[in-house]
Formats: sequence, C-alpha cells, structure tokens
Amino acid sequence: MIKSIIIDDEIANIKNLNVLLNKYCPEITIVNTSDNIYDAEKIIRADKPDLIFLDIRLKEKTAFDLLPNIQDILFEVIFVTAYDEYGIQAIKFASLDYILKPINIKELQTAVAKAVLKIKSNQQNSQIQFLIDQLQPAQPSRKIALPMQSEIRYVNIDEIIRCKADNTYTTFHLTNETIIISKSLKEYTDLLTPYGFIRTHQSHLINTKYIKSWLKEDGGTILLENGKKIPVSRQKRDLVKNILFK
Amino acid sequence: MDKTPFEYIYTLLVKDLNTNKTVYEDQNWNYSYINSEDGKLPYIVVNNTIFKKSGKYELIIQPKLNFVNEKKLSQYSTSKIIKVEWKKEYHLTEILVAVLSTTTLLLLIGFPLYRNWGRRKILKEKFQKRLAETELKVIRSQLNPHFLFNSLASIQTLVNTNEIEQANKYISHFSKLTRSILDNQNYNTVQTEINLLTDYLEMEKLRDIFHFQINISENLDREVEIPSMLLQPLLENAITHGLSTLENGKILVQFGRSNDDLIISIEDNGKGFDNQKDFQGFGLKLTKERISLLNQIHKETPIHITIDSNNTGTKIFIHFKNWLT
Repeated sequence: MIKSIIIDDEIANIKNLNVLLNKYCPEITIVNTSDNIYDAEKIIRADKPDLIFLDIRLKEKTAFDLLPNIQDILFEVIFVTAYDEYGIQAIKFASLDYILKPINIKELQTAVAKAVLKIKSNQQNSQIQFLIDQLQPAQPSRKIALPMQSEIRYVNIDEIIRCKADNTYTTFHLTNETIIISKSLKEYTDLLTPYGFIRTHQSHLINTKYIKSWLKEDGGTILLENGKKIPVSRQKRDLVKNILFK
Repeated sequence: MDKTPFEYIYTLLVKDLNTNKTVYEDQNWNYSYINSEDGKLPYIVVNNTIFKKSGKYELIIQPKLNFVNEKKLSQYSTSKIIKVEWKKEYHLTEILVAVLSTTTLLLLIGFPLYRNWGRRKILKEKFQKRLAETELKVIRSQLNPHFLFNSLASIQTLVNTNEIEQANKYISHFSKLTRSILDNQNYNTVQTEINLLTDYLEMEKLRDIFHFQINISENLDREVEIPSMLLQPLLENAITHGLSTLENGKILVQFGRSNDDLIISIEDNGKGFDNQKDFQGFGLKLTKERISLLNQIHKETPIHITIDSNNTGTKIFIHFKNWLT
C-alpha cells in the first residue's frame, strides 16, 4: 500500500484523479486530500504520505510556495499541471515527474510505477530539495539532476562538454567523467539549448563553450577543445555556422 | 549740337530703332534759356506718347534740305540714341489672366503631386489599419491554454464520475467557445456575444463556484455588432484574480446604451486589485491593447475603458462612443 494524498485547488480534479487511481493504480491508497496549501501543509505533517499528487497552481499560490515549508521531505511527488507554466522547467531540471491534465491513463501509470519503485528502494529524495534550491532567485550556477541507475547526480551545466544519443539513452561527456542516462537526447536538447548548447547532429548536442574550431572537412565538422571531432549534419550546418560566426 | 547762326531750318526726327521707322517729325523750334551760360537755345517739346514701347530711339536733327546729298546731309546733322523704358502698368484683365494662368499651371503640375501625396497618405493609413487588424487577430486568437486544458480536465472529471448528461452539456459549451475562437470573427452581435460569454462562464463555473448574470437594456438592439470576445479576458480576470478565493462570488455583466453610446459594465464582488500597480492581470493588459488597436481603426467611435477596483469588488466600464449612430 502506497499512502498518498492529492493536493489540487479544484475539487473536481481531486475527484477525477481519485477515480483514475482507484481504477488503474490499485497499489495507491488515497488517505487525504486538500484544495489549498495551508491545509496541505497540515495533512502532510499529520498523515506522513509516501506520495503526493501535487497540482502546480493552487489558487493564487503554487506548489513551490508549499514545498519549502516542509522540513523533512520523506515522500515522492508527482506534479500535475494543465499547461507548461512557471516552474515546469525547474521540475524538468530536477528530473522530477509530472503529468498533464486532462490525465492520460498510461502516463499516470508510468509516473506512479516510477514513484513506487523509488519508495520501495528507500532512496532518499534529494530531488525536491534540489528543486527548492534551484527556485531561489539568486542562483550562482545552473545545475541539472541526472538520474542514474543507483543515484541522482547533480551536475553543473558548465561541466557538460557534450551529450551523445544512444537509442533511448543519452551519454553525458563531462569534464572529468562519462555517465549514461536513460532519457532521450531530445529532452536534454530542450532543456540545455537556452544555456548555450547546440544540437549539431541527430545524435550530438554540444556545449558551445567547449568548441575550439570549425573544420571544413566533410563539409563541416566541429573540433572541441579536448581534440574530439563532432560531425555537423547537412541541415544543421547553417544553424551552427550562424551561432558560431555571429 | 552746334549753334546755327544761319536761318537753317532743322528738323527733328525720332526713329524707333526696333522697327527702323520714323515715328515723329517736328520743326517747331522754341528758344529759351535752358542753360544761362550758353544763352538762348533752340528746343522742341516732344510728347512722350510717341514712345509707344520700351526700346532704343534715335533722335536726329538734320537740315530740312531736299537737294543736298546724303553725305552732305550727315555732315550737318547730329543724332543721339536714347533708351526709353516704360514701367508696365497692369490692367485688371491682365492681372486676371496672369492669376488664372499661374493657377492653371500650378494645378497642372501640382495636382498629380498632391494626389500622389494624398494617395500615399491613404496607403499609409490603410497599412496602419491592416497592421492593427493583424495585431488584433493575433491577440484574439490567443486562447488561454490554461482555460483550454483545465476545461478538458473538468470534462474528464464528469466522464469519470459518470455524469454523462453534464459531460454532454459541457462538451457543447466548450465546443461553441472553441469554434468561435477558431472562426476568428472580428465582430459578433450583442446576442452572439452574450451566448458566448454564457458558454464561457458556465465552463468556468465547473471549476469555481460563483453566480453570474448578464443583463441587456431594452433600448439596445441585440443585433448591434461589437468586437468579439472583448469581455472574456476581463471575466477571466474577475474569476481568477477576484472571485477565486470567495464563497459567494458574483459577476454582473450589463449591456446598455446612453444616447448613441454603447456601455458595457462588468461588476464583481471579489477582493479587487490595485489599479495603480502595473500588474493588472494578463487579461486586462490584453483587453487594453486590443482597445487601443480598435481605436486606431475606428477613430470616430473611440472605446474607453475605466476600472474602479477596491477590496470589496471591481467595476469595469467599457464606453463605446457614438457606436450606435
């Protein structure tokens, strides 16, 4: 039994999620619900849930107003949102799970299965704390949570030289090591492009900070500072040139 | 001219050098003291009307002797060339002709230029109008994604809780709204607008508990066209920023007329917002932008919005000046 609570400012959404969880995720038991952050704080302390389904927008407050008020985060969180909004980027950087409204049953089951796995393995939940830290206004450096098989690695994005796609996995080449993450390169492309990364090729995402030169061989290749040559695909050539030579 | 001690009879001839014709001939010499030192001098008084045009004239004084030859004659003759210049006096007809011809010339040259300039001005205005219309379209097509997905989520709840009748009703409200937004009509009749606002408020009522009422004055024609979905963002604002934390939230929308002006008011009993602060909700900003664009297009029927907000509620008046003429 996974003790869970639902926090959503709309009673109808609580009802809906309740129905869906009862029907499609039998291991989940809803012990309490709340439609505002004040009651939510109380029931989290009182009920000590394993899992919280947390709507991001809670009337005039958000889930990010609630989380910092809770000292010991001994639960997993599945965020629920109707639309990409404030904080969703931070959730992605923290590699936390979220589902979209209206709820897709498959997505709900996948998110629940992952949370249950984490709860059962008794992993310490550092991602929520990481998320709270990342949402602080004065952030010295942007970090990203990379979920590995047995741990979550928090990496400064300046340390990422490049990422390479291997099927559904992504290999991160950091300044001092290489790690493999079971998420697609597309996800990381979306997250890292605003931070000076370019997708030069179907399977290459590189940090422009580490580019040494543009080689004319094969119609265009990028030479990195560490001597590695990265191919640039035909359709990305103009884009890459524009970024490099502007 | 030498004095002549003899009783020569000299003749004065005036020759127009322009035509080389003698215009005047006279031998009625007078004697008088013109210059006292020189004693009496002969002279002839000539009326200036003989000089009909400006130009050079030669005055010749020669003996009136028909028998001497040309050579001998010139020996005893003297001549002087004078320049006559008439200052032109203009007559009324001349002035008229001059004025008319100048005007014609100006018109001939100037009118095409003027027309071109005018055309350019019209083109510029047309362009600005079109720009404003495009911007309007962009603003209008911005369906709030929160509303969209939250509405679908609300319908999902109805389905999952087996409220089939309700689910059908809300799917219908939702599709009417989305259809109207996709149609992207610039204007709707007051009646259509009221129907859409009702659809919208019904959808919102699925998520928030509040009451609403829409009134229309009897003296206002329901077929009058107004900018479509102009009020929707204001209502959304009232619900999400004013009523959302209230137990007995109320919204009153009124369509009325005052002479030739259309007046729409929206009142809510929410907790209001600070009108002076920049942040007035996305909806209000959007509506103000839209109104300013509409005013660029319809300069003769300006729309004016006033907001009166305090902690017991918000009143918004939209005043459409001369909209009903």
